[in-house]
Amino acid sequence: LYGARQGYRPSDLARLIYDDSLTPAEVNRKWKGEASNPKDDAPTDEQLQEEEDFFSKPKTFAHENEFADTDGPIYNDVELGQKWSNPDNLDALRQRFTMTSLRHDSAEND
Amino acid sequence: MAEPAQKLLRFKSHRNLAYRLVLATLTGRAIHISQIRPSSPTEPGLAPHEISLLRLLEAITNGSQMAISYTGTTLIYKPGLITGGVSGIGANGGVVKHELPATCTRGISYFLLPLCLLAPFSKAPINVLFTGAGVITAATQTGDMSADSVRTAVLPLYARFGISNNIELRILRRSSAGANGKGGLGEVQLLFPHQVRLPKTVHILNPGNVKKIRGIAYCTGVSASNNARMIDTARGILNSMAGDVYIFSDVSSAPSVPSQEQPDAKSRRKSGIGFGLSLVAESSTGSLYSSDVASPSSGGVTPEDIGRQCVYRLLESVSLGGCASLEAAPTMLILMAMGSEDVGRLQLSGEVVGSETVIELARDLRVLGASGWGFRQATSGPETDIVVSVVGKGVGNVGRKIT
Repeated sequence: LYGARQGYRPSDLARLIYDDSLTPAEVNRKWKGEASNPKDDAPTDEQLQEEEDFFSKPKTFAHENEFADTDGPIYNDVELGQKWSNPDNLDALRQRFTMTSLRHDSAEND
Repeated sequence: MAEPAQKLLRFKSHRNLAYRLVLATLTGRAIHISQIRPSSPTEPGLAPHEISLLRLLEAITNGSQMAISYTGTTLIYKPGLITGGVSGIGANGGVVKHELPATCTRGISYFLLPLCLLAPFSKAPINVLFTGAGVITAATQTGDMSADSVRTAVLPLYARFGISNNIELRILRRSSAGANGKGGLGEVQLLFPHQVRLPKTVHILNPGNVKKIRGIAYCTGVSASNNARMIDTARGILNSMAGDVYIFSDVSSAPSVPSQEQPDAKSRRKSGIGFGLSLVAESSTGSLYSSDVASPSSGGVTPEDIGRQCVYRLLESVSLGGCASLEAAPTMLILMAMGSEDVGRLQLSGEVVGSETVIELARDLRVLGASGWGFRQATSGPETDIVVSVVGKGVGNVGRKIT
């Protein structure tokens, strides 16, 4: 049913954002359409293993502490560096800047 | 007030604590937060910066009550009226002096952003002087923006809501994060004398194109050539993108405290040494995108790297689209939610709307009685842009209801 779901659909977000059974991280992933493969629904080996360990291991709140309580985005500078040192990506972004055509032409003439 | 005692609204975990406290104060609802870092073996409960924020709230409000459990993992907060700088309550001559402890790991923006949200709804003008061994004006490794970015990328947003008179953020003494990212010795003063009954309803639907880029390179206690190197690298990339690029340079000496090892009068220890860059891109329609990078307190990063990272982050923020960056989105959404009972609209990037901060904020607002947000596809801008419709709560400023 949810096989080939597209991400970023406003109607999905309205449904997901107020669904308290999902953590914000899960909402984020589902809405982007990243969790659309069926194996996410079936318990993985790891989850089964975890269930077996249920009584021996206290559940940690590790995921809670992972989420840095900041306003700013958490950037991966290595990925960003690769993305924006690529001239094609820079050229694609030029349309978001004013004077693009002028600048771009002059760059080509050089 | 002769209202019946309201039920405590319950929240869990330390996430979004600052915004939860702000929302509780603005809506006047008492909240109960449990499970604040319950499983941390070394530092359970509230962190020093969170305690400090509670103290700040206490200083600028009248009649707030807070109770913290023994372990610090549970907090009950009953908000009072936001009085601001009324003498005799928390202020001295209209100025609230707030000292941050040396154990603080968060940048000053952690305190400034919530304070700015409360300020328009205050009874008297807000004038807070942040001082003490914990004031870090630079960006931090914990992800806080610098005080410069608050001034250039967040405070101008208030003008959109009709709040613009004489708002000032003075960076009196700069400081980077000290050893292990803890503490600085900076000094910052926020003057917020414009109080309103209700913020204006906004309809911000056109991201526009980036027309100018401004920045501030700052260094404390290190050579000014670091600034020049950051600026050189940043301009090297940005000059090909925008025509109007200007990056200021601010050089200051490191703040120092009397040394603790040798407490004679002469020896002083420098604190908060480092450098960093703050960049803001402004679009033709007034949308602001900012980025911040500062050197880690452990050192070992060249100014070129800082400059480059900062530019890349700025480009990423611009490429996401929308009319507000992730740093500014909570501020705008909260002001919209606290506006008059009318629908305000704001176009945001899909990445920003779907970010954990914004999702958490939407849920918190609903718990506090605000109506749900509406989402629809944006007609302009990138495909993933979403228009968020927020109905104001019409709570406004209790202190200014009768004029």
